[in-house]
Order: sequence, then structure tokens, then C-alpha cells
Amino acid sequence: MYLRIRALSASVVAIVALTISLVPQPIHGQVGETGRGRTTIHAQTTADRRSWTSRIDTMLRSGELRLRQTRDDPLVPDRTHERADQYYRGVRVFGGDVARQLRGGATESIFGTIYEGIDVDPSPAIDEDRAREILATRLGHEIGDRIVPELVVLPLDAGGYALTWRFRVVERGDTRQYFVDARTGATRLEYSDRKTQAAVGRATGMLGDSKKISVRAASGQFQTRDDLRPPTIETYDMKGDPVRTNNFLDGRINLSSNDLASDSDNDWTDGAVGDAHIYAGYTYDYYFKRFGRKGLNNADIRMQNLVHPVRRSDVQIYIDDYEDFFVNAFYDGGGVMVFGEGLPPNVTLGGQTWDFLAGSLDVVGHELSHGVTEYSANLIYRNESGALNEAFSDIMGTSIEFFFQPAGSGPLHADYVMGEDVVRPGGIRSLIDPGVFGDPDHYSKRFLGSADNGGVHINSTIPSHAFYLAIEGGTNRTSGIAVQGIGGANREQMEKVFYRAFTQLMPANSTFSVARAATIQAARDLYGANSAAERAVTAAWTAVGVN
Amino acid sequence: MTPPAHLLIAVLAVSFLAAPSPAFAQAPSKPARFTIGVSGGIQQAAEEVSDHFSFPKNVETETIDVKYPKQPWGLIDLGASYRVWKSLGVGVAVTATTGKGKAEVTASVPHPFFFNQPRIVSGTDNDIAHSETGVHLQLQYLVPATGHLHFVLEGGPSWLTVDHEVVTDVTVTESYPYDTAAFGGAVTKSTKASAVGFNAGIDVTWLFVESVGVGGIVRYTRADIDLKAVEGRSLAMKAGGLQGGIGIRVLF
Repeated sequence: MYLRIRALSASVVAIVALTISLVPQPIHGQVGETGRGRTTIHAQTTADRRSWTSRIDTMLRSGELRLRQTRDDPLVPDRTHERADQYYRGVRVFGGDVARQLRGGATESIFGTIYEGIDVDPSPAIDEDRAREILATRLGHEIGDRIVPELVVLPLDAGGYALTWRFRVVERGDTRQYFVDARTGATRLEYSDRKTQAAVGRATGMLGDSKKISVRAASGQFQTRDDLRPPTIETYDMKGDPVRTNNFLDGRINLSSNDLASDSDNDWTDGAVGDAHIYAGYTYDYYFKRFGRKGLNNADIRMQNLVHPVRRSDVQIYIDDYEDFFVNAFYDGGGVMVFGEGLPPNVTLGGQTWDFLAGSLDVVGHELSHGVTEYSANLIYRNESGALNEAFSDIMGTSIEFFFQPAGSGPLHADYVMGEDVVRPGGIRSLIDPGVFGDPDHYSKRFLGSADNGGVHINSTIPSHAFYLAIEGGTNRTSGIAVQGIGGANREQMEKVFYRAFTQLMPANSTFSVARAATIQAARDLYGANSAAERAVTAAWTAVGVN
Repeated sequence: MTPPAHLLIAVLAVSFLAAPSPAFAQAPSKPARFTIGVSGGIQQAAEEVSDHFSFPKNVETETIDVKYPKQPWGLIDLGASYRVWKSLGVGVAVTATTGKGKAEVTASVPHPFFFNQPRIVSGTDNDIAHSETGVHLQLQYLVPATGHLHFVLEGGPSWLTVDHEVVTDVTVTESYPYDTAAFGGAVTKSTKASAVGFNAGIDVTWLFVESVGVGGIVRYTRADIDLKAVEGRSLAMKAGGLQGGIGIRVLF
């Protein structure tokens, strides 16, 4: 029995130390950041304070600044704090405000941001109700009357200003700010207003190992959303609900931040959650550091991991309908991965116990590599091209293991066996000796039936065994041909050869023979004709009977 | 140039402009009862100050080492003394130093993704504010005058107050994949503390008229200060140091 891991579808800061000037205009003060009409104030010296106090008092009198708040300092006696907002012809300038600390009526410090050079018509061409309709149409849901928009002048990131209606809308699992242009109706800016913060926690993996986990802090708890890596990486806890999981995969429902796995103290003990989330990050790291690739689609597509799609205790109920949710892991396309729950400890399949599939780094790397294939060669998932698709995932999954774990045998060690950390004993496939699991190590032994999409898993070991031989060397058991590998110390070369061939050179309907030619070409491209890499990969393909 | 340095130059200028030719100088007829003086000069810090602290960061421990190098500060000294009996007198002096110093910072910042892969960052903050004020009570021995020269040996307790910016954290510039980081700056907190110490020194005056002269002072003062950097942690510092200055003395 083997695991059918499958792919279902393809200054600045010019700190301008403004010296004391006798000329009252223009601006005095330490300007921390300027640009696009924005002046950042942090006036702390006497001269700066004097200049800015005068300027601010003038603005307060003219209405360019309006006092929003005055509070006594609870910590320091005789101190008062004022906050004033900037207005342009009666319309608030979003982000323009000043905080002034007074000591006995005299200015002690001033910090703030003032926007200058504003030149917009303060009369909206689109009224509040029309703006609400426009945004509702765009969002696909009604915006209640309770949400009252505010007319603001929005400083644009690209420079300039726009008169906009600002809405703060609570949506599924998020609260977002929208700025609808009061002249054109276009959305000028939107962002999440839900206060969150990236955090680093500790997670105990399924095998008892301690790792760091990148999460976010939100609403007094921690959630499995990685905000430190360039793509959003999210891990959802499906809480043993296979119907809901299936509904999401079928596109019938969406998941929200409420579905993210959560923890109260950032010390994560759910091994499946922690490992899935962390290993997805490791996989992104590997592709970035080794190949400079930015995620699955090379454009930082969001990665979503689904764990606990079923409960192990429900194996009797759901095994027939949701077998994959127990003893499989799969890439569902579009950056979505599902990691099976495994089986209860007292249940074996094929004489092996099945733990949480997310607990094995090579399995996670394998699944995500299907995403890389999806967005590159998009190898058709049947027959030889399908076997190449699977082989690439095994090759990359193994390479990721070697990148992060010490070489050796046993749990948390890098080797050429797939899934050995979670499917015990032995794992599910071997790149060293495929025959151990009944898989072919030579083209002459390839599976020619229609099962398994024409042997996509079974025959994947022919090219993946060639990868092994090209690195480590050795003799193919069937052909008896010996290969001089490039050595484990140079494994990076062969990883790059296969990555280049599979993601850049090969077409969707590749055969093993095309893969041979493409990897040889890649070796020449990267390391030169007749290089050790080219000789090794050529000999390896020959040894496995692919010419 | 720091304000005390300005003042020092001003004091020196006034001193030399006011000083007549030695040919016109006259020796005092009798020991003065009161002496007041003002001097400008420098104070060499008592010692280099080192700090080491740590706190949790990225589920590990971030450590920060800070060195505040020993350096001279501009000094202003105001003193007054009263001869009590024969050659014995009492005096009080007030000194003030202020300036900007350096903090050399090295931090070991844990990686956000991996254990045991810290990033080492280091840098210097050249804008560390430091000021000291000292009140020195002195028992004085007036060495019998020899012509125009007057020597005073003095010593006693001191009350030293230090206001010092203490580094409490560093900011780092980092971006994915976070394998390296760069020093962004030091996070500092101004903190103040006082302690009793001692002072000992010698004051030399050369009178160019009967009651006015140019004086020089060499004094060593010290007090052990504990600056509370953050709650539960303090920075031990030896305040004071070797002080030297010249200025004007008026005797009457």
C-alpha cells in the first residue's frame, strides 16, 4: 500500500537639523520625513518648538487645524496634551494631525504630520448615498446605514490628493477601510483595519520537536497566519468536519480568520497545526533561498493549509467517503493543501501506522511542489507526464528535507525516503531503492496499466531514482549500470538542474525521454558542457533505462 | 562645540585680557578671608562603562552589550571658600558637565524562524546625552603664600548627580528571509540618579593684582551611581573623574 499523494488540478530622512532662523517662514522644526507634500514634525528643540507653536496657533485660528482632544497628563503633573486634526477647506485631511504637549501652558514638544500643496475641490460630485451604493456593488453585499462614511482628503501614495468617502466596513473575519473617490467612484485605497501584529511563538511538532512558528496576534489570541514571509501563509483548523472541508474545496463556502487555528499563549501543542504551518514556511524558504523563487506561482500566491479535515475517531464513519482526509495529503490547486489526519494508533494500513500527514517535512514540501508545477510546466497528471509531476514533488520534498534537517536516518533526519516520519515503519516511497515498496527502478519495469492515472505514483520512482543516482552515485539494481554521482556536498547543483528543467524547460506533456534531455540541457546551461553535473545526470538516466 | 567649551574659552579670554603685566602685580599683604572662583575646563570620565543585558525575543534571548567609552566632558566649576582659622578653611564648589557621548552597541538578535541562528548587529550611537552636576564640600588647607602664588589643598564629600541616556534596546533593519540584519539604532532612555562620593584636589592661584588672580584647579571626584535603566535593572556607573580647569579667582 502506498500513499497516493496527488495533485487534483493542475530621509529620507534627511534629518534636516534646521538651525535657528530669524526668519519666521517657512517651516521650522526638525523634519523627519518629507515627500509628496508631507511634512513630519518632531520639534523638540527650543527653536523648533517656537516656530511650530507659532505656525500651529496660526493654523488653529484659521481652521486648518481643529482641536480634537485635550487631556491632562496622568503621569506627569502640569502637562497637558492636545491633539488637532488638519482640515482643508472644511474637509479633514486623512492622516494629517498634530500632537502637542504643553507644560504650564508653554509648548514642550510637538509631533505630527502636515500635508501641504493640497488642491482639490472640496465639494463631492458623488454624494454619500451614491458612494455607499458603489461600494456595496463592488463588495457584493449591502452596507448598513449604521456605517456612516466620512468625507476626507486622502493623500495618495503616488502623490497628490483625492477627495474620498471613507467607509469602515466589517466583513467576514476582517474590518476594512475603503476610500471611494468622491468624484469618480473608484476605490482609491483599502486596507485591513483589524489590529493584528506578527508574532513568533513556539510549537511542539508532532514528533516532539520544538520549532518557531510565525503567527499573528489578534484579539488577545494567536492565529496561524504568517505575516513575516512575503506570501500570506495560513493554516486552517477544520475541526474534524469533513463536510465543511469538502464544501470549501468545492468552492461552496469561504473560510475566514475565525477558521484559522488559534492558541491562547503562543505555545502551540497541536502538532499537526504547528508542523503544517511551519513546514509550509520552510518550503517557501527553500524555494526562495535555493532558486530565488517567490512561492508557488513565483508571485507570492497565498498558501492555505487545511488540517484536521476529519477526526481519527470518526474513521469508521467517514473512511469510505473521505479516505483522502485520513491517509493522504494533497494539493488542491490555487495554493490550497489538505493534510490527512492519519489513523487511530491501534489501526494499521498495510502494516503501517499513519500519523498526521503534516508531520513530515518531505510530505509538506511534496504537496507544495505540486503548486510549483501547477504554475510552471503544469505537467499533465496522467501517464509519464503525471509520473514526472509526482517525481518532481518527491525530488523537491527530499531536497527540502536535506536543506533543513541533518542527513541520516530516523525521525527528523533527511534521507531519500518519503513520509517515513509519519507512516511507520518505512515511509511510502524510496528514491534509493524503489523496489522496497514495489515501485520500478528502471524504465523496463514501468507500470503500463490504467490504474493510478497510468502509474503517476508508481512510475515516479524511475526519474526520482535517477535524481538520487545523479547525486549519490551507485549501481542501478536492474540495469547494473554504475553512476558516478556529484556527491552529497554538491547536491545543490543537481537540485538546480532538476528545478530548471522541470519548471522552465519542460512542456506539459513531457515524457521521461524529454525529461532526460531537459535535465541534460539544464546541466549544460548551469555548469557547462561535459561538466560533472551533466555527466552524472546523463549516466543516471541511462542507468534507469531512459534514453 | 559644547556650551561648557564655549564658556571655557570665554573664561580664558577674560582671564588673559584682564591680566596686567607681571611687572605691575603686587603681592597680597595678608591672607584673604574669602575666595570665590569660576573655572572652565574638562572632566575625564572616571572609567569606561559597560552594560550587558538580555530579554526575551523571538522565543529566545536577545543579548545586548553596550560600551560607553571614557571621554572628556566640558566642565564649569564655581567655588567659594572661607578661611576659618590660620591656614584652615572650608569651601564649597559646584561643578557641571554636559555633552554628547557615544554608545557602542552589539546585539545578538534571535532569528524569527529558527533557533540558534542569531544575527549579530553592531553600531554606534553618537548622540548619547550625558550630564553631571556635583556639589563638593571641602576642608581646605591654605599653603602659605609665596609671592603671587597661592596653593589650596582641599577635599571632602561630594554629592554627584548623573543624568545619562541609557541604551535599553536596539532597532534592527531586517527583511525576509531575515538571515541577516543591520543595526538600525539604539533605543535609549534618559535616567537620573545621585550618590554621595568624595573629592580631593588642589587649587592654584596666581594673583596679578592684590585680590584678583588666575587660578587653576585639579580635582578628582567620584561616586558610585546606579542608574535605573529599566524596571529591575540598573547600570552601575562611576560618576565624576579627573577634573581640570582654569579661571578667575577673587580674594577679599
